[in-house]
Amino acid sequence: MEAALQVLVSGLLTGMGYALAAIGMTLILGIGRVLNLAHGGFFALGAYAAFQTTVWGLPAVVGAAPAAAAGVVLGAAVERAAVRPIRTYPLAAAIVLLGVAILAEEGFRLVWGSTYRSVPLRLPPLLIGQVVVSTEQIGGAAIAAVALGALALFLRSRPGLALRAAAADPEIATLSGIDVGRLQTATFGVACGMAAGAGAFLSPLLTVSPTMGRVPLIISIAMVVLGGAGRVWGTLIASLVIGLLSTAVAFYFAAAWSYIFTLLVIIGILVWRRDGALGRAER
Amino acid sequence: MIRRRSFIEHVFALVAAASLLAVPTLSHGALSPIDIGAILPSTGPFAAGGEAALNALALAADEINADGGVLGHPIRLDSGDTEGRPEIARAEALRLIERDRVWAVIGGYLSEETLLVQEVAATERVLHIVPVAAAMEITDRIARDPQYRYSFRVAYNITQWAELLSDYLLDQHVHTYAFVGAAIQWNQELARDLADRLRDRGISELSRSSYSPTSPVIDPIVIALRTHPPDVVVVGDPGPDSIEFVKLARELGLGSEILSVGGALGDARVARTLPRGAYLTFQAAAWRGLTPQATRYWGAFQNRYHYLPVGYSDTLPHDALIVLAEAARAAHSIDRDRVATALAGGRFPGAAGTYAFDRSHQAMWGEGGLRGVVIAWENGEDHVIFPLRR
Repeated sequence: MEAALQVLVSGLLTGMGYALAAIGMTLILGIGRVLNLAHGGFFALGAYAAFQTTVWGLPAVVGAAPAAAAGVVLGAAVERAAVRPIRTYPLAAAIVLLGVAILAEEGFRLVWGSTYRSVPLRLPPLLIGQVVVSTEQIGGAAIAAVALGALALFLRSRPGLALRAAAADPEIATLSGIDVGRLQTATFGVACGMAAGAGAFLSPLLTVSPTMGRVPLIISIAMVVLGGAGRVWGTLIASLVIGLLSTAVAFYFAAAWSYIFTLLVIIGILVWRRDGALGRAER
Repeated sequence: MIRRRSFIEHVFALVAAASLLAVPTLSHGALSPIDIGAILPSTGPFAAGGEAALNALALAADEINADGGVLGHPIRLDSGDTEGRPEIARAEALRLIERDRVWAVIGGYLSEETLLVQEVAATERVLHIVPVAAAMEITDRIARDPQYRYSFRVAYNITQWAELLSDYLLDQHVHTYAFVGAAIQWNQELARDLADRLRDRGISELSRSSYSPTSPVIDPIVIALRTHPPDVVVVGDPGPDSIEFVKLARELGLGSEILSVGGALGDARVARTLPRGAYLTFQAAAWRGLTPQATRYWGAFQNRYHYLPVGYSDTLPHDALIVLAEAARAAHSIDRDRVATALAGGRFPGAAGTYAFDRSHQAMWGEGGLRGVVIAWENGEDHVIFPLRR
């Protein structure tokens, strides 16, 4: 029973970690109609910012705000310079962003080398009954919850309505006087900032390396596809379900099977419902 | 126009004068350089290990050149990036051997890469030193087929790693252990070998867990280990996931000793970031203070790169080049056949110990040869805990 409870808590916290990485991706896909293959690069940028902060003798969390700000600025710049001119060609835009991701990896390698880097853990774990909870994971989950809450509130506001209109139909939104281009740039920048912030916050539990953005990128794509492109709550639910499922499979069967099982579930769901398991529920 | 021609003439005169000054330096200097191909990953998931190996090779090349080179020939490194992919390693081996005409190759990094590099080297009859890869197939084929007689392994094989691990666990009077690692061939073979050695010697393997190297799920493994904690958790993953495993294990309150098989957890920069007080040990080929050569190597590496070597993925490539140069000196020739004969029959001191090769060209283990060590990190400080000099 204790183990089952521990699996439940760990699975949900893992899912919240996935959500933190995936929310920005779904926003960009929904509003910008672009698959941001550079998303993992921004995640790694945040982690390296946190690492560098610790090199200077400061706590890693201090690096989160500048990392997020740098993510917003760089993300917006990438969108304006590389995505906007080819936005009507989604495949070309995705390939350009893949190029940006590779450039980012090489940039990290030039500045910090290929060596694995580690950010110290900040706080001791919590013991709740017989269940041990990682304070670092709780921090990540809290950040994801705050980001989602802020997003939910924003989407109910007037600018949020414009964002939803742009996501639903960019052409009609433009005819209604909404500056869709500016919204897309802002969304791209904010989403990249979220990825960088997530990387900074989760860095103490990860190994910092130039290629560390690849796994969050793949997980984000899987969660977005499963939850439905542009559907924030769908992405959150998909993240929680997959986090829980992968943890339970690894605990009760074998850890090596977890990845295979998760992929099989995702493939099965996509074959069953092409727009994601949770796509229609949100319409 | 006249002024312009005058300027050009001056430039030519300066270049000619510089050339004349340079000629004596070149002519009375060393013989033509010997090119050595270093086939290692500079990019991709194994780039950290490749970078360390290349740093150590550059250090070794400078040591050799400062000592007069190889019979007067300076050593020059020519690297090829495998990207962690066997087919790229093979292509780089072909490029270095056929186009750049290197004298010898050192690499690859993974066993899968090394097997393909070994095939190319055998076909082209080029000397090949295996610095890191541990798969038994590498030396088995040397014993089987004389075509591979130019290959020599300074790296430890899986049997030797398992022997050091089992000796340490027996020395520590451990009763139970668990094996954790990425689902790769190296870990599977190591876990099997270790369990076979310890089965009848009073040490039980409580569990064996592996995770996907591309998408590791570590939490459930730690939760399971907490349910029945072993005395020691052997982490057979020298990659980045071992760092995450240690952090999560301490976060979730697993109190067992964690013993890592070399790699990332041997990096002092990483060790300093791990939870204080955690009992973390790791296995290495050598460590500073054990021999004068090791201490000298540690000092030179730290002076040059401003961090400590990890005692395996850098130390053994360093020794690979040193051994190769010493063999040529022993053979009094750079003829590949004569150097291969010298390698097969000689004894060569390196930072990790004295290298002598058996009939399968595997560096031998034990008394008078290579020993290996277990190091403990305690609050960021390193201590050799096995074998103790009693």
